[in-house]
Amino acid sequence: MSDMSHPPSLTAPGDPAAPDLAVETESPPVGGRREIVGRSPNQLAWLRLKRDRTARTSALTLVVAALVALCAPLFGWLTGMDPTDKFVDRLNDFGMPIGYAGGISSEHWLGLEPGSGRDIMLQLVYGLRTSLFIALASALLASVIGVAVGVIAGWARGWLDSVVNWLVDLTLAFPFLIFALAVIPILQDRFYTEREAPPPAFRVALIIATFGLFSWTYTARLVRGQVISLREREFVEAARAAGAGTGHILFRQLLPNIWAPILVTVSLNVPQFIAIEAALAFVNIGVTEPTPDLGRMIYNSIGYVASDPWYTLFPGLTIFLLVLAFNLFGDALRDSLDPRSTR
Amino acid sequence: MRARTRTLTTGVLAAALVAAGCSPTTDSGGGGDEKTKTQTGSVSYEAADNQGPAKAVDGAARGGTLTVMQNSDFEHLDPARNYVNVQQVTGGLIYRALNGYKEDGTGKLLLVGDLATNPGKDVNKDCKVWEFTLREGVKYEDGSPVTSKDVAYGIARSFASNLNEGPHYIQQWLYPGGAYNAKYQGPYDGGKAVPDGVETPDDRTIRFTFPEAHCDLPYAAALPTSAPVPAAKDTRANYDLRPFSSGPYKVKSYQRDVALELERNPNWDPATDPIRNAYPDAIRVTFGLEQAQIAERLVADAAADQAALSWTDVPPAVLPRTTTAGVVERVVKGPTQYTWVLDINTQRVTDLNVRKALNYAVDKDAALKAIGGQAAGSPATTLMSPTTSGWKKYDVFNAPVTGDKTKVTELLGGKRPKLVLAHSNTELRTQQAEAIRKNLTDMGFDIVMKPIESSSYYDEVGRKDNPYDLYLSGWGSDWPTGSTIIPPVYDGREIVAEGNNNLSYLNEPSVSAEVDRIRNLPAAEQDAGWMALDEKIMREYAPVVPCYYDATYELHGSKVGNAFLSDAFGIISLNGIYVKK
Repeated sequence: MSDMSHPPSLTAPGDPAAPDLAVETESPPVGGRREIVGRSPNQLAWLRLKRDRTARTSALTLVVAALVALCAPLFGWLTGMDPTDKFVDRLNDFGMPIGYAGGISSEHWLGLEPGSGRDIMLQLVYGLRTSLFIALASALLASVIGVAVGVIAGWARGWLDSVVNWLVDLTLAFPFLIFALAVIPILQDRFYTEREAPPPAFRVALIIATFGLFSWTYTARLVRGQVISLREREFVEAARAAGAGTGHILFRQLLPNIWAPILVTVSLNVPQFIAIEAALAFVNIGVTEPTPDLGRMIYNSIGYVASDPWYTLFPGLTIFLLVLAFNLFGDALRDSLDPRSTR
Repeated sequence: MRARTRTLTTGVLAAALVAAGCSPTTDSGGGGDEKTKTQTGSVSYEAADNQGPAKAVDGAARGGTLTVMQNSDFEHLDPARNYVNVQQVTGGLIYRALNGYKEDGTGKLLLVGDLATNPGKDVNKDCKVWEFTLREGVKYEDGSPVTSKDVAYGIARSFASNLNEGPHYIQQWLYPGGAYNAKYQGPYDGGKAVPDGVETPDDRTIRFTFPEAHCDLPYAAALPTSAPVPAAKDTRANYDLRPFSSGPYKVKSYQRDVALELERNPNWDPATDPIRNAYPDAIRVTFGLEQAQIAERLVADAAADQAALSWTDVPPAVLPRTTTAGVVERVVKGPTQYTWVLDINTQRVTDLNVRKALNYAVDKDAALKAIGGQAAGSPATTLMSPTTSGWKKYDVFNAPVTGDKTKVTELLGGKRPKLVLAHSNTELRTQQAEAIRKNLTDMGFDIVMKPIESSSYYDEVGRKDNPYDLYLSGWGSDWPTGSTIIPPVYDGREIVAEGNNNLSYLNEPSVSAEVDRIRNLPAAEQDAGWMALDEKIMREYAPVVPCYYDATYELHGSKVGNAFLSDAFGIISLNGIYVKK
């Protein structure tokens, strides 16, 4: 696609009437006749993604994680346990789980938490749900804000662009963690009195909002740059000449051309949010008890590395695999969408 | 005294994943041979107990440097401001109070004269006039003699408003009614040199005259405010950093938050001291290590840490590693004078049946296991700790340790009370609060958890109009009788707007009347009186849920000799400790 005089993907994927057909040879010629198959860039990207073994493996991991998270109540129903149930009678005098490998047994497949006696598998499954939901929702929110702001800034030029750029600089200069530390407890006290506990959803929403508020800048800058580089192209001029309104040009002409980098940003934002969300537990502003949370579980388990390594191992391994899979998938996605960066 | 809060800040990853669980964890974590010992505390006027030098410890050797690894620096070392057990044990090496506790590690606790030749003479046998005679030959670090005028000056300066962090028993008794320093604010800024009721007829005699009877004075005189401070050496607020030594050690250097180094006071004469052996040549207290780090280092027992110990409890995560041979014999554990109770704010929870239901509901086993199980304490049923003299076990509710749901349902009568449970936001306390929340929710209560910043926890729940219903608190006696437990914590007349110790805000005239009656009993009958009042409070008002008797679980290195738990302070005593060659 070095020829950029044409818009790379002006039409919907798979449209046979697409003016911009890429030509690719599929399989060696059989019977002396070469079969020519026409494919859109999206189809090509999908093909490249399917061929990539790393992408397949990481995607599978993510699908399994998503399924497990979605089916968390099913696990609870199957085992007849609640994540907050405490099996204190299965702990010894020091509060350590009785038995082998952190109390692994037929009832408790991944053992029990020392001290509290909660089932690790259920905590993990429900915690995965919290972490994934927060990360995905935050990434989505950040992208929506980022795209909106980026498109406006890139298209508007002039004073609006300057204002938006200034806003981006300001947000980038703002220390995220300090802001989160200051704002999360204060907002909680603002909305709930001393005798009310905020529902878990409130804390989760607060965390998502904080993430969204600070993470749109990267997407915004990316989109702005793309819009600026595309808006003077012939196809935009053509659309304008044909009498298209700003809305049509922005959403029908420009956006379809920049969705690829946005998608990559989202896929790389998600693992970052999973990790940051876990880190919030370490400074006491993450998701609060009794809502299960991967980050808090890891934080609580670190002290037990030497005495009950299994407790640290399971949540640690889960978050490691999750972040790794997201990152690898994001990389693979970028590679497949942008063939210039072939390895 | 208010308990040290159990905090756990996990900042370190333990080095290796050793012992990754090839053997099963068994039911008895720490060996269930824990027996609750009842303190046999008594005041001894026997000449043999009161005479120096302290009895030699078998196999002990002089010399070496002992290291004490601590998580955080002392708040105060100034005798007028010293009210925390770790500070009192350290301060006791630098300065000597009128009285002191003589211990040998067998559970025998004797109150004897330290600076004084005996624990105080009750001149008229009415507990109102007390006289102490100072020993001969007690010298400060510069060789000058310790006089009774310096003891009087030390007490006088403890009235100063900027040195107000210490215990104020004697101070309050000298000026009863109202705040202890309402009428006298110390010798500074033109105040009188000595408070009313304190006389020093000669350099070796000090006499206290109280308006009311105070048979506990020998115990109160063991608190650091009766340590001598020479007026010429008083640096006021800076005295904290360098108290002038009258004991076996003097301050060599003190770098706040880093280390305190003590070296021998050459003018200390062992023959004048019945309490301290002072075997090590130097004592070094280091600050700033994490709790888990300290425990891991002591478990590892590397050469540099063999002559070290810590007064910090082993955190739950490290406990399982202290049961192996080579470590288990270096554990010093046992009950302390602290009792932890779940306070019920009686201003809000006025229904006695709800308070009784809470007493049936709380799963003390779960609350304990969340913070280290047996190493952290044992389930409690009384308000006073078993280390209090005259303590007797009773159980008003006779509920199983994990709670009794039938009784709770019966007492609640179909209601589902909504209660706010406040807790300190440290990791362990949060875990413990969550254990209590889950347990009470299952028992039929609606529980709202409210985390409070750990540094302001007692300030918040100590406000009379605090908005919470339930909160956990620990209280330990200042000396092993009920008079420093029941009156400060359960007498409604002590309730003020802020800084309360009576956290259940129980204000019952019948309890107050009983407190007055017991205070005027002959000394010998008071112990039984406090115990009876303890049971009466629980039976009639149930203002708290007694949760657990605190225990301590500390470690020392392999070259530390004669390390035992001090019953007076609930931590390893340093008076007879030695460094093995």
